[in-house]
Amino acid sequence: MTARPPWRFRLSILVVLAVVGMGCVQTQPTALDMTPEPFRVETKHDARVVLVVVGGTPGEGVVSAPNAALRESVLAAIQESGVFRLSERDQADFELQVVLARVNFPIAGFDFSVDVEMIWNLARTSEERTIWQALIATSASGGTEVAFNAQTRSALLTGKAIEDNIREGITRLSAADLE
Amino acid sequence: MGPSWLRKTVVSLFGVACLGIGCAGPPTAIYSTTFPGMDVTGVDRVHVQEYPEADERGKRVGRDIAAVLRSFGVAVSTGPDFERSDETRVIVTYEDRWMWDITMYLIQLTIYVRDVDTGRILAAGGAIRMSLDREDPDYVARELLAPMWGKTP
Repeated sequence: MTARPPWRFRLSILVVLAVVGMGCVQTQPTALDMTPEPFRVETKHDARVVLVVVGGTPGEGVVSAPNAALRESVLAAIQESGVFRLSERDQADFELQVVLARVNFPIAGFDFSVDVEMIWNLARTSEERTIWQALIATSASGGTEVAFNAQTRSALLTGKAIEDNIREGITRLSAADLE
Repeated sequence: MGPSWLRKTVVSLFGVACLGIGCAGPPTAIYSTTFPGMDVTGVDRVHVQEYPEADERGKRVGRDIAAVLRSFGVAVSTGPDFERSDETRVIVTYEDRWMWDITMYLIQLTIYVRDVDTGRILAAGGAIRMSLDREDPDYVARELLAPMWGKTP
C-alpha cells in the first residue's frame, strides 16, 4: 500500500471541516438569541394583549428568523417586562402585531452587518382600529470574533439586531398613549 | 498539482473561505399584511416614491410596482416625493436588493404603503426569493400587492 501524499490528507481534512462549517449548525437565530435580558419599563398597561407575529420564515431556513421563535421571544419580553398581560384573542383588549418587515442579511464576507426593520402595531380589538404604531430599525455587526462559521455568525447577528428591536419596541410600547 | 507552497495556499484558502465567508442561500419567505382599520382596498390613487439612489434596476422595480397597481384600477404617479400631487394621500415606498448568480436576480423586495397624513404604514409586504426560486420584479410586486388590494396574485 502506498502512502497518500500529505497534501491529499490535508485537503481531505479541510473539505470535511468546510462541509461541517457550512452545514446547518445554526442557520437562523433561536428564541434564546432574540430574547432580551429582563428589563424594566416605565409604564405597565393595565390591559390584555394578544400577539400576532408575521414576516419571518414559516419554518426553518437559512436567513431571517422563524416566526415561531420570534413569537416566543416577544411573548417572553412582554411577560418579563409586564408591559401588558397576555391573553387569548377573545379576552384581549388589544392586538399587538409585530412584523419582521425587513432583514438586510449579509450575502458574503467576513465582517457582517445585519439591519432589521420591525413594525410594531397596536390595535384596539373592540373597534379593530390601530391606535399606535412604530417602525423600529436596529442593526448588529461583527466579524469572525462572533463566530467563525458564516451561517452561525449571520444568525447570531440577526438575533442580536432583533433582540435590540424587541427591547426598543417594548420600551416604546410602554410609553404609548392607549387612548 | 503545482509546487508545494501553491498547493498549501490554495487548499488553505479554500478551507478558510468555505468556513468564514457566507454563502448562504436564503429560503423563500413572503408576507403581505394590512393593519387593523387600515383597509387599502378602496385606495384608488397612490404615488410610488422612487428613492433617490435608485439605479436602473431600482427604477424598473418602481415602474413594475406602478404597473401592477394600475392593473388594479389605481391611479398611479411615480418619482421623488416632491413630485406627488396634493390630492394623493397614500404613498408606496419600496426597497429592492439584487444578487448575482449567473445573472442578476431580485433576492429581496420590501414594500410599505403609507398614509401621508398620519405617517403610518397601512400595509407592508416583503419577499425573499432564493436564486432557484427567482421571479421577475413584476411577479414579486404582484404577489405582495394583490393581497393588500384584495386581488388575486
